[in-house]
Amino acid sequence: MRTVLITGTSSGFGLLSTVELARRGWRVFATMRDLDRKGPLLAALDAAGVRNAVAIGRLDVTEPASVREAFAAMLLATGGRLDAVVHNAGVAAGGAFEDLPDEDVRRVLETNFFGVLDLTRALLPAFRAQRAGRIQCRARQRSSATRPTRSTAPRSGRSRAGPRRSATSLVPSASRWC
Amino acid sequence: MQYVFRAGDAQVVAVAIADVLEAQQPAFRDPVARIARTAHFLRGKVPSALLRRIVGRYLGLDRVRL
Repeated sequence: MRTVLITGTSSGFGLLSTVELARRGWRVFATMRDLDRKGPLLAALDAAGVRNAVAIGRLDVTEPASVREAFAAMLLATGGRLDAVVHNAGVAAGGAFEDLPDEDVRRVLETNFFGVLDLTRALLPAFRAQRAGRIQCRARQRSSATRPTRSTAPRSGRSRAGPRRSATSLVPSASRWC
Repeated sequence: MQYVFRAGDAQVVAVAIADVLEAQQPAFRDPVARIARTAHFLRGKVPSALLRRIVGRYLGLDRVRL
């Protein structure tokens, strides 16, 4: 059975992707920052009848220890096998640029950019060992053109452009092994 | 006039994520939904200044007063 790790599955695209992949026969490791928010995911999985195909765990991409623990637990459960990862987790900070506190901008970049890099760095050894693996980043198409005053767009879009650019540079080094 | 942005169906993205994972040879980038595919197609073919104006108009930036 193919296995996939998805981040940010408590709601939105992550939740729907988890259900869709489980429905297609994947074994899904659905992760989220706060396990108290797993209710909607469980309800969706029960409704789709795929509850048994999904393991839910805690993973905060901004905490390296959390990344290591979740990844180790997942590899233990699968016997060291992981076929794919979906970098879905992301946060946004709203407001005009000059109104945004610095900590909000840093929080967005920590999650949307450095979180992707840290998790990718953690899983690459497993992909190299099995000489296969697929890394998928969900990014905004309009990551360089966002509305300045809308509540969810401003910093989220630019921070999502980072992983997209990083993926471009990762391909030559990773594809040689994977 | 209030500018209203309508998001597409989120399930479309979920299906696209699953399709890409299952594809034998997935594209490096896989734009989802009409506007993203259009912007992706136009990039490199249309001058970037013009593309920015088009996207800005689509997003309602020309109506924003800060």
